[in-house]
Amino acid sequence: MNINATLIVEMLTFLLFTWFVTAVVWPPVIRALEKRRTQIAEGIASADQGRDALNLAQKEGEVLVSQARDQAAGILRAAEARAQVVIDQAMAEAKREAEVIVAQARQELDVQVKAAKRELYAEIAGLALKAAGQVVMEDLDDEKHHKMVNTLVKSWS
Amino acid sequence: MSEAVGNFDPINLDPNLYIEHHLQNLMFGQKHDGSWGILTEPNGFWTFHLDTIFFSIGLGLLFTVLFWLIARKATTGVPGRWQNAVEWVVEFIDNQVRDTFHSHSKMIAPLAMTIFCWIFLFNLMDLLPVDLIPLVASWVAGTPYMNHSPALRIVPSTDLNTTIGLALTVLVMTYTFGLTHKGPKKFLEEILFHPFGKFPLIVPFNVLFRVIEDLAKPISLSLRLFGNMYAGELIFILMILTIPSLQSLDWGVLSVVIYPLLNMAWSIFHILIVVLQAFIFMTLTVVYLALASDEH
Repeated sequence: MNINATLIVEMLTFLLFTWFVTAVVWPPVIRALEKRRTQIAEGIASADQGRDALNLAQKEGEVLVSQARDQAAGILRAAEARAQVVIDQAMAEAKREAEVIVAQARQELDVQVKAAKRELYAEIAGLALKAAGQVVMEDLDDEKHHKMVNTLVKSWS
Repeated sequence: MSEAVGNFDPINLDPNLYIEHHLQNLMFGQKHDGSWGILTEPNGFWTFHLDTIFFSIGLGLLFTVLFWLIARKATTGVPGRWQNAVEWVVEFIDNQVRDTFHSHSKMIAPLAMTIFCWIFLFNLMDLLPVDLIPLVASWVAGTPYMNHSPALRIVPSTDLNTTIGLALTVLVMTYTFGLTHKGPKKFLEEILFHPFGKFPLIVPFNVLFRVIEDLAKPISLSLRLFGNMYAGELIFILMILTIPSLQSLDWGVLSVVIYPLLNMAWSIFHILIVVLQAFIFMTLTVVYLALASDEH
């Protein structure tokens, strides 16, 4: 156990290794560590930002969806109202037309009834004249006959 | 005692010779006839412990070159296994240093890492079986084991030259740190007027106090590490002697079984000491340097 020149060798070796580690080993490792630390911090920050943006977008999306839903409901309501209006109009028109048709038919019927009545009166009048002729035994000529029937029919209708 | 090359026979071990052999370094220096070579006896100050020098430089190169190769390719992206390990060490040391050392210094953390890794590897050599590398060395050298071959000690931290060398370097560093961080004026004032005050008659006592303090630091630093590792190694050496002594007591096969159990128990305990002593040396170095550079 003696102190000798080994001591000096050890001191110099120690200084050399310390210098080597200080010069080339330590700096790149600590630099890499620092850089990675900032990278991770940045990554976390951007992830936070992304999450915030996502939240915002989600909220915006929800607003848009509800707006769209409202709009759609509005459109639907308007369409229904419009359809109702159209149906009402159509029904009103149909009713009007039906009334017109019915009125025309009724008019025609009146005309026909009148015509039929007239014919009927003429026939009745003819028959009556014929019967009367036979009763008086005098045959009426056609001209007289017509005149009589016409005046009779005119007086009835 | 067998004298065949590379033969190691623990059953017929001579305890005195074994212990003496294992506590001796491989010495290089000037022989009595004036030539330089391997010595059997230390010869004054200019004796070199070749084993200590070889293993300390080898272990230093092992970690510095390994770390350097990994650090060179350090990426800021996802680190590989090796880079991860190096980063773990670097970050651990960096945190330790940040906790104690508050001034700014580019050197302090790499210095702490050098101390920690280097001493850790020194101490780790203690966990190798005591006879393994000496046996291999005697095979390689072609000399009989123990009796005639030169000794070989593989744990540099069991050599006082290593631990005192480290501690003295740290002491020198405390001075340079003090001078550069505080400036020569403050540095000198601290030596002259601390801790008792500026009264002229008291100045010698202040200086004496400082001398004692600066002697105590390297001594406690170096002897703590040396003592722990030397004692640990000694116990590993002594434990193998259970084989010849139990054999002589006719314990039969038990005499061979007990040694591995003892060895394992002490090895497990020693793992703690290996890490702890490296850590203590590093922490105290950082504390001393922090004291030297901090403003009071």
